[in-house]
Parts: sequence; structure tokens; C-alpha cells
Amino acid sequence: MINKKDNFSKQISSLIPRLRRYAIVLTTIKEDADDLLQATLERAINKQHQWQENTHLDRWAFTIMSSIWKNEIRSRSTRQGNGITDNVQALIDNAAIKNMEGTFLLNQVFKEVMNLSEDQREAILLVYVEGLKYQEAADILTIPTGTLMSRLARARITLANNLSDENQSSNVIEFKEHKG
Amino acid sequence: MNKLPPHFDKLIAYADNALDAEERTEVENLLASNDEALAFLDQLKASDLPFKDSFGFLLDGDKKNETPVMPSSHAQQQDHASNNSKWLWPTSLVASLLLGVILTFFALNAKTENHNNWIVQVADYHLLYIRETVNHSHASPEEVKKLTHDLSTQLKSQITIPDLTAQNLDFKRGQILDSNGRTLVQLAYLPKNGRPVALCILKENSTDSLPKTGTSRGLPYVTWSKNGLSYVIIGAIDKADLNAAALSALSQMDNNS
Repeated sequence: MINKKDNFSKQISSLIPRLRRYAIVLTTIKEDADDLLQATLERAINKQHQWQENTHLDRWAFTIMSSIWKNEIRSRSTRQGNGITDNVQALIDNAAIKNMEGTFLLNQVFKEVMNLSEDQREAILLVYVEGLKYQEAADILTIPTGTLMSRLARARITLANNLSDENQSSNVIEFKEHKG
Repeated sequence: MNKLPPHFDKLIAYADNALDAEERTEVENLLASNDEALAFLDQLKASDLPFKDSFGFLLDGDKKNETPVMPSSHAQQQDHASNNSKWLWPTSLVASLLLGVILTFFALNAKTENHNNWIVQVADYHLLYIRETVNHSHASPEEVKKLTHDLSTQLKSQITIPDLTAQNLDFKRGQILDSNGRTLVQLAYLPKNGRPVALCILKENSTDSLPKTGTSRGLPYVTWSKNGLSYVIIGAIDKADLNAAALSALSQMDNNS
């Protein structure tokens, strides 16, 4: 017979990859992400009695992670200067998919999202990567749905503009090469 | 900051196919009469990207280990205050989640060059434990029996799980860890008050040694070796109680060998 605690342990363990991904999106640095993940798991275990069985543990854990990041860890993060681009590239370089066919676009999308503001990239992650409903994502971030939609809107405008610019840049290079 | 068009939220929901039929009709009417809305929809279409696939690789993690890994000792690193150490080892907490099972995780695989400082590793790991970490674990007699079998198999040596209730220590759970590539069994006990106590067993080619006491990371411990297994019992309890628990464990394991 599986009791509530066993069920909790099993479920939280299965969530670790997704929690880690969220942590990376928030922190942009693997080391900080690991710190955040650990703090989140620790908090979740200590507060597991507050989790209602048969409710979504992932939403609950995401909420904990978001709160810990914003209220406790972000201020002492090891981030320095504007190193996000380097950090993101390092994540891609370490990924097993880097040499797979068709990954250029995926890497570009990943980089562009990771270069958005923190508010915008976590909105993108929760809604378009995790597939949560707008209201669910807003609840995790403890913001009104309208604010979430605004972040999504601005993020998508930025992505549309940046990816369009990159496509134009690629065309210019390609044209020069053909001309030469 | 750019001004968003009216009803931008509805337009996003429309582009995301998250509206019902009636709402879609309303948006389509808006698009038919509002160039700003139409231009915004074009931007949304241009940013309809494979987000899920782009972030999929982050789910892979570093699948180098199948067994939770003990935290690498700080022995060769800058000294860290113990209240900071809990932030350093993401696998440690994960390992504490499960009862006697092996968890696949993206473990940090930092190697400790000096394998003899496994007790420091154990101490580092134990610092993460609070009462709530194991307080809700309850191993039934059947589970203890199965766990004893599993742990003995892992260690390739018949072990017993000592009953330390006479020392006011209730057995809570056991798990298999990895200490620099070596199998390490951790048995967690809980006193009536305070933090847990752990009895750890490491498979190594050690010569037999009598119990000796020490302190690591501020935690008192008792360690000994017997029949190719090294033992340490560690925890923030009275040293006399810890010694009594060590002697009881040694006695019970001797009787079983």
C-alpha cells in the first residue's frame, strides 16, 4: 500500500528534472540552479504536510521555487555583470543535443528566450514549455493574469523582432558568400 | 517600453488557440477592423516557436550516476562554515527522499581524491539532516527484512540492521549511497529529541580496528572496522549515548556475522 509520504517522495523525485530546468531558467547559472533546486527540495520536504494529495505537486513545487528564488537566493546569486550570454552558451555546449540535426533553430530559440528578462523567460517557460494555463502560471508567480499576459506579449514581440533580425543577418552573410 | 495593442491578452490567447468559439469570433472581428491588432498577431505568429523542444535538453541533466552520490568532502577545499554547506550538494537532499532505493538523478560527481576521508563526507551529508528529514519514515518489520536483504546484497556481506531502541534511537530508514565509487549504506535513526543519528557502512578493504571516537564538522562519531567493512555512527547527541549506541551496534553485528 502506498501512503501519502511514499507518494510524495515518488512524485517529487520524478519532478526533479523539471524543477532543475525551471531553476536554470531563473538563475541562468548551473551552480546557482543547483543551490536553488536543493533549497526547493528541502523546503518541499519540510512542508510536505501542506501539500494536498491529488493536487498538482508540480505547481506547488514551482511556487516554492519561485518564492525562494525571489525572496532568498537571488540577492546572493553568484551572477556577475552581464554574463548571461556566456552562461547560456555554456549550457548549450554541454548539452548532448548540440550536434544533432536541426538543433540550430532550437539553440537559437533557447538563447533568445534566455536573454529575455527574468520575468519574461519564466513566463515563457511556464506557459509554453511546461504547458500550464495562464491562470496556473500566474498563480505560481503570484501575479494577476493580466500581468502574466503582458509579460508574454512583450516577450513574444522581442522574440519576433530578434529572430527576424537574425534571419536577415544570416541572409546578408549568405549573399556576400555567394557574391564572392 | 512599447505600448501593447488593445485586447493583447485576447490576441495571445487566440494565437495560442486557447479561446472558445465565441471568443475566437470576437477576436476575428477585431482583426478585421484593427490594423494594430493585425500587426500584433503577425508578431505572435513570428514568435510561435518550438519552445518545448528548445528547452527539452535541460531535462536530460547529467546522467552520469545511477546512485545518489555523497557530497564530496570539503577537506581539500576552502573551509566552509557548516551553515553554508547545506547549499552545496544538490544530490544530498535528493538522496534522502527515498527508502532503500536507488534514485536516478543528475548527480554532481565531484570526486574526492583522498578516499580515507569518507567520514568527513558522511559528516557533510549528515549536516543536511533535520528531524523532519526522517521523522515521517516508518519501516515495518517486512520492510526491514527486505531492506536488510537488499543492503547485504549491495555490500556483498551479510549485515543486520541494529535495534537501538534501548539507546532511545528508533530506526527510520536505510538507503544506498555512493562514496567515490564505493557502496555506502546509511541507516538513519531518530532519537526522542533532536536531529537524526546515522550509522553508515562502507565496503572497503580495511583491516579490523577497535572503536575510536572523533569529531567531524562538529559532529561526534564512533568508527570501527570489521571483516572488510568500515562503520561510523554519527550524530549530534550526547557522546556517552553515541558510544553506547556504537557498542550495541557492534555487538549485534558481531553476533550476526
